[in-house]
Amino acid sequence: MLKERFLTMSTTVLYEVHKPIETAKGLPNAHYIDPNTFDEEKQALLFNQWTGLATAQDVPEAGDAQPITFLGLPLLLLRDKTGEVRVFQNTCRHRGMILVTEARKIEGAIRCPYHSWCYSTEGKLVSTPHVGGPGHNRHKDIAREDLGLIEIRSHVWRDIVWINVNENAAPFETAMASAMERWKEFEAPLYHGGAESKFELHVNCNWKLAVENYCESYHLPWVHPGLNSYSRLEDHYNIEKPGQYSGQGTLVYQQLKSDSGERFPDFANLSKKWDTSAEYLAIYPNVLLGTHRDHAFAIILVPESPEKTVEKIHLYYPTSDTPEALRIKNADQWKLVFEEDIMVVEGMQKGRHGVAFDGGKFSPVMDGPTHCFHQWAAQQVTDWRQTSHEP
Amino acid sequence: MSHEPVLNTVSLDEQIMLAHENHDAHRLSYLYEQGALRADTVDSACFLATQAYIFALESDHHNQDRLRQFLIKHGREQG
Repeated sequence: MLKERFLTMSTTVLYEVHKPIETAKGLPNAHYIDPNTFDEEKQALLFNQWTGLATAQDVPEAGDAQPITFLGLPLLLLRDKTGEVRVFQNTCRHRGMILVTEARKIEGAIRCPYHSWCYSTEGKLVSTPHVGGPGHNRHKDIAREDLGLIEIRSHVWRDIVWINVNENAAPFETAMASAMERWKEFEAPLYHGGAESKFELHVNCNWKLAVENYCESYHLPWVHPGLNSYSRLEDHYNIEKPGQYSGQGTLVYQQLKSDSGERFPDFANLSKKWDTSAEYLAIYPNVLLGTHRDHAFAIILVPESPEKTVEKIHLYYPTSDTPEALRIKNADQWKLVFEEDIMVVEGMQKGRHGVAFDGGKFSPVMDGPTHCFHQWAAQQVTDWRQTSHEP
Repeated sequence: MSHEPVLNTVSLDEQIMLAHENHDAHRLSYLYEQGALRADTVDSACFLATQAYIFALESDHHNQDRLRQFLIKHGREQG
């Protein structure tokens, strides 16, 4: 029996994940600890999808460039001279040299530090010095129009820069239509809260465990007892959109107040429902969003290895002039909640080294959002395998 | 061409080396252009003008159009 379980480390058996929640099991251990499965999921769950990479505010001004290594892929996040956010492969088309090694402002062109081929911020190859011999900068076999930077398909929504590395996902507005419709009342400018509203958590767990923990409310009274005083378990509801997202909502959101009673302003023109409601969506694969009448947040999960993940957290407000002290208080409050979750995601990670663990038994009532995510993951991996991409 | 001062007490080569050490693309563009102006042959001038042009592109130096036109005139850059 144990031998069978070890065999599944190379090609996992997923049919039990596809079952209805009453009889389903969770994803097998290999999906959390096995490097080969991690690589398979990199393609099936991350590069095939619209995946969160960074935030647009990371490159606030024209010419700002930031190199990012994402799942081993060297990328360049850049705001071009017209103000458009773009993502390129950070690799020169000549000899494959890395182009930009640290975050900086591109004043003019991106010059490769090796042989100085130059690219515009729109990715066009604009000069090829000495390519035809000393002082000869053109050659009949060097077609600059064919040698621009490789641009990665990208889209900005709610300040998140989403990328589809394999260029095979549906158009962004189609893929995200349901989530966009659900939160259409919040389609308004988001103002990042600044330095104190941005922090990272480095956690020793597979990235999917962070998704799974985020999208369910079942754990709240046990892991976040501080929330239980006003936001009780029975005040929450599950959100499930198979194949796209899952999460939770609360009916009793209470605004944060300063000692003098000051609050954040509301997003404009919200319906009455949002006076006391808030929602938290895990947008598959790796972006966790929260929205409230007076602020929002985004968490980008950056998978670093099967058992290491970085959570990049950003808080946003409806206006640019919210009180700094209140922003700090809000960030501290959320940081406490997110830090409380570290114990459970790291604990679940350790638990998945128990070779007899069978993926787990879901609560048919409470674990719907998690099961929804597992079914999506299992389906994507199954589809990936069936398109002849053997792990 | 450009009238940015070149210190007479230090050779152009030394100034270029210093600008390379400082990663000063703007200065490098100017200095290489000075070299191009002093060159004895068209080939030498085009080599140095290419160096100047590349650093002008990188630093968004105002001399980039002038250098590009020079190189195009001599058949060394795409029109």
